[in-house]
Amino acid sequence: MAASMKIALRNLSRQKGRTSMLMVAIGFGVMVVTLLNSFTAGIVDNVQGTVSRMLGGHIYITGQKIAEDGRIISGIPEDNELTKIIAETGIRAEDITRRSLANATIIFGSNSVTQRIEGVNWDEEKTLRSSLAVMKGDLASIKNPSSLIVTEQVADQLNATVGDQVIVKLQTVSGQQNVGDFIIGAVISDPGVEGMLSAYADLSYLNGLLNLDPQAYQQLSIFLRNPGTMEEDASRIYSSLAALGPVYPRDSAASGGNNFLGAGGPGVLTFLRGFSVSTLDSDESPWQGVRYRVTTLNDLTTQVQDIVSVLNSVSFVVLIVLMIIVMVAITNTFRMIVNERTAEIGTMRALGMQRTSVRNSFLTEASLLAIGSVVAGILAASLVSNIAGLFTFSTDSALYIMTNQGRLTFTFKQDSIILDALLVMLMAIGAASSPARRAALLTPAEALRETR
Amino acid sequence: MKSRLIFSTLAFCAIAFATVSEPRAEPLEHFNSILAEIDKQSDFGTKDFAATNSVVVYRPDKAPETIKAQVFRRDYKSQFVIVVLDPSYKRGQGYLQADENVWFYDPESGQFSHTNLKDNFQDSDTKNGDFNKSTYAVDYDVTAETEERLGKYDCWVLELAAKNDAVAYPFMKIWVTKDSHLMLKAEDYSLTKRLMRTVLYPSYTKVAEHLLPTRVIFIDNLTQGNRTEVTRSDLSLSSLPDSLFTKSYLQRVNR
Repeated sequence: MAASMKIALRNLSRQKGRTSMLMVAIGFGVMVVTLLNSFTAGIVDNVQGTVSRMLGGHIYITGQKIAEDGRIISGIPEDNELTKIIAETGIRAEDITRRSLANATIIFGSNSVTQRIEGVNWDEEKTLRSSLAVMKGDLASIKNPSSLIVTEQVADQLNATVGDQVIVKLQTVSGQQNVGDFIIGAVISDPGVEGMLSAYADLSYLNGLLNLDPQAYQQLSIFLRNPGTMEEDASRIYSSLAALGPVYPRDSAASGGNNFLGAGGPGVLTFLRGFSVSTLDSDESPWQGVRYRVTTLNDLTTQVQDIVSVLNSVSFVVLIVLMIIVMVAITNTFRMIVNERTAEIGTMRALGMQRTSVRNSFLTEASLLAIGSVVAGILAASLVSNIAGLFTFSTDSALYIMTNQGRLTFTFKQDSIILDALLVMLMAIGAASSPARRAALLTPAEALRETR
Repeated sequence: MKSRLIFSTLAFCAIAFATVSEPRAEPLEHFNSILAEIDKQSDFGTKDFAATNSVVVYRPDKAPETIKAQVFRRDYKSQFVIVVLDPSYKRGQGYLQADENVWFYDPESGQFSHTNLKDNFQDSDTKNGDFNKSTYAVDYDVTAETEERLGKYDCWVLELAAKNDAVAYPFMKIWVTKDSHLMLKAEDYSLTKRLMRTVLYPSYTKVAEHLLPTRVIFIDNLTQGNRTEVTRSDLSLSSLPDSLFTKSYLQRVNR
């Protein structure tokens, strides 16, 4: 083995130009695939990070009860029970937020914008406060209960700025029309998708307009210390809630149901539409008490994950195509090498070298070539990703939501890199195996005669 | 000076209390019966109702948009179907009411989504519930009445407060002609008693024994310049097939 390694290393260094060209070809393929994979992983991380900050967490719990007249009203009346259940599940929460939601129309003069407004408890919402990029005004304005934090796009559409008094038209939890006065306290940047970020208001002030108790809320969100345990933690909460009372099935968590998350199918935009009053569907059974629904960030970002799956598949196909081209090059190169080294092989065989050793020396050469190329490819990918990370996207860009505060980020996943490296090595060895076998089958006499 | 101020305040309170607590059982009953009469005009009972509605939406800095829609109603089952006929890019959109739930059908996606009677129809100033029969007598109490002349008509101005939280507007003010009990004007107020919308009923027509408004003007009092005019035509009380009040009808209607 040591001999094969020594011979392989010597042979690789003998033809530096050819070795370098092969390494560049293989390394380029590795770099492209590594970049694509890490780019898509970065997109998922960034989108999930942005959305989790927007929605106040990774796991969302909402509740509905049936009023005396049969209408379904959204809200969580018993905070103690829910908080106790979450504590008992033992999940590691970074932060727990409680919000009320209104799908409202903000009016300023003759301009109006439909916008989701979230009532937040600013004392609790430290993560939100730190993540909001203030463009105009000051977050200190939130001390005024009627202060409204809006995005730059909303302010532009309203032609309003900090200090302007706006009218907010919304429906109470029972669906009645209501109107409230707000003052724009700060203008924040929106992460890419126009109007995707909610406007924010004081929880108790918004509750007053929604006709809810000042301390009531409609959505409890949990920021996890480790978002990787999101599904597992959501299942634990779901099981605990299911043991106590009615719950929506987990598989329908983001599919709308009876207008619980708004109309339409799954997705974060559907979730952002908020709640409205409804009655039971003809095929729906009534329930007693509060019926909870547990939704995760993954449920809401399935569309992003679908896109990423497609991109990952594309990058895998790119890897295969590139490697097939490289395999042809490796096979041809090794055939050429075998022809060039026929006399050498004949001499080594005449001196007692076994067929397997001849074959192994070629396969080791291919393996070393692949390892070197993979390392070079990953280093190149790292370099390119660092350079790409220097460029920033403006908040107006549609790509902004896919970035980390305007910068592209590449998440290098160990398992994905190892898998790609193993695949490249196997393909390189496979490409070299045929010439290696031909070299091993040469008899010393024939080899020495051919070169003469 | 101080004692005079106290006396004035007490006197004002006493008058206010007397006004509020004045027994008015008979007049209020009379006004409740007016509400019932208004409701009766728009309730077709066991008969079906169909009409073509032209909804013109006025917005500042925009050309008016006209939406033509066919409305079918079956009041005794609390059902209605609205099919949008025009403009072409909205053709085939439809609404189906089943009690409080209203389903909106979008032919582009082929999907139904949930809405309700209190949501706006398209992007106009009308609510989905405005196409339905009125239920003032069921949903509101008359809390005050005054008299006012509106144009050439002597009217009762009735202040209404919702009996329940199921209605869109918790407070209303309506102008009803003294002689024929036709509603000429309504003002809709929010829970915080802010004027949100003014509705005008300038013209009526008779269909069988029902007097129905043929033109209704909705003025948004919150957004300057927003206004919607609804004109009804082809009013009919002919019976309609059961299959019309189904989701599959909306899916088939403009295929």
